[in-house]
Amino acid sequence: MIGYTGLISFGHAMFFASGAYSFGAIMQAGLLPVPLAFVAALVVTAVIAALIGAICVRLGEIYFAFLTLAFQMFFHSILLSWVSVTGGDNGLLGGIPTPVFLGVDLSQQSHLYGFCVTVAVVSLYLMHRIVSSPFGYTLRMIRDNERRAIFLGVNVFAVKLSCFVLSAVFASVGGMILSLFISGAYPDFAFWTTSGEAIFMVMLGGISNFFGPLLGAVILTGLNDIVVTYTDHYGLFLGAIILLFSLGLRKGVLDFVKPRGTKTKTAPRLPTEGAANADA
Amino acid sequence: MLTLENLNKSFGGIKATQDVSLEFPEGSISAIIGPNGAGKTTIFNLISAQIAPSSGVISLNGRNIVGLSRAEIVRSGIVRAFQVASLFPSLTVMETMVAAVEANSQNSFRLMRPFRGYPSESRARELLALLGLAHAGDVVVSALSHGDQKLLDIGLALTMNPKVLLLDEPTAGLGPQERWSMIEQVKSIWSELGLTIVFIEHDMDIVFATAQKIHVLVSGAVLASGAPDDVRSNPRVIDAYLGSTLEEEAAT
Repeated sequence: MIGYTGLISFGHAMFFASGAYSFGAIMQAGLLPVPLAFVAALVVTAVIAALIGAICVRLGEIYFAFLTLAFQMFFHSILLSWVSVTGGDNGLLGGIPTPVFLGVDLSQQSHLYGFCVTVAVVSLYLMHRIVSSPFGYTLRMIRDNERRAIFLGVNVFAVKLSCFVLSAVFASVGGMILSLFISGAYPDFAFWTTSGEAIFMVMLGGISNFFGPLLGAVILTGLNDIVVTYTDHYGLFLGAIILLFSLGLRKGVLDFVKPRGTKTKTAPRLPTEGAANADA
Repeated sequence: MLTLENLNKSFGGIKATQDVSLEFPEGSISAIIGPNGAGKTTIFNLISAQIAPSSGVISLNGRNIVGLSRAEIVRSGIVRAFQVASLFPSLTVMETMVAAVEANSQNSFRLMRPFRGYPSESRARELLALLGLAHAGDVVVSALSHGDQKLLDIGLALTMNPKVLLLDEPTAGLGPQERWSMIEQVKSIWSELGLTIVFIEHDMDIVFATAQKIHVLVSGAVLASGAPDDVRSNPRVIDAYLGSTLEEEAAT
């Protein structure tokens, strides 16, 4: 979404969390098998995103960023205070039961890993299809020159809202995968640092390439693993590296790779999904 | 036929257009000329519903179009290109045209089908050929020459299937040679598509060589209207406008 529409959302951790929580809660209630619970959690997120998006996407960049942040803090405090459903501070405890479906038993590590990789790859494929579709190019038009897009008959509000909902749905897929891995969901998922990390990933990897955010996710998680073995001051190192990228290079790694000579390619929506979890 | 009758527009106390009555016959190419501040662009803004007239009638083929929204004006077939090209800098020329054709065919929400290789692409290719930009399909818009950007802006207008095309200074900002190739291109678009074209222009050589009819505006009012030869020999026009332009040109 950052790359293709120029909208920077600080609120996508909210959708990451809404995926994790609704999936976890549905499974704990034992109402639905895994695939249906998965779809149900996507629908829950899509509805929340549509409501919030309808308010936010009308606004200019900076107000959009702040309002998404505000909604996320609001969502975070709901997670903390609605104890009967969310478990409050403790998160969804007691594990997420994963009954066997279609011969897949998610309590086995190999099955779990295979399932998550499949979901991540399918998500990436779908995202790739979307950004290469007429819709994807409509997003680029809006990013480059919104007024001209309106003049060409594009319903900018509807397109932006669809993009917001779609990216929320992909973020929630990420949240669900993570909730499967740790067999729970925590309020931290919805804290602003989770959105911030996603934006760091985009910055690190590069905004103008489809795989930029994916690479950013690998770099950030890799750095995390390396740095914490040497020091507790992880934030200090991370901060320094972010500063280096934003002030020094002003680009992400893959922004230096220009595909097809004169042709400038453009970048993808938030990468919270598959990327963050393939190596979680 | 596009007709303006007694069109008035005031901004505060200033009358930007005063009782302007003009006719643009179907399939004609006409020019609006006049010194800066004569109200030329205001007339375009009025026709394309960017602003509403204080009084008067604008009609297309006998139907009053005052009060329609901008989108409705475009749908009725009146489309304008802008003085400063307004484009999508990171797209290629071909992508720009395909995306615009898709937007016009209500395909902006197609999520899963590929962008290229559909009927919109052959339409885009046709229009690019018409613009003389067929060779530049893979060039990124920000790397195009100024003249080609202006042509592409006209191309975007053409994706909306206009009947009447309003061009605000198509040659502004171009070098002397580029100007002539631009206006040749506009003429070939005009004859190829059978459009009604109205253009605003400061270069008098181009105006007199191109327009079938010329309308001279001074201080918001129509000073003269007619075929190039009539306008050129009209003493009031020479007095108020052409004389001074010729002196200016002689001075520079």
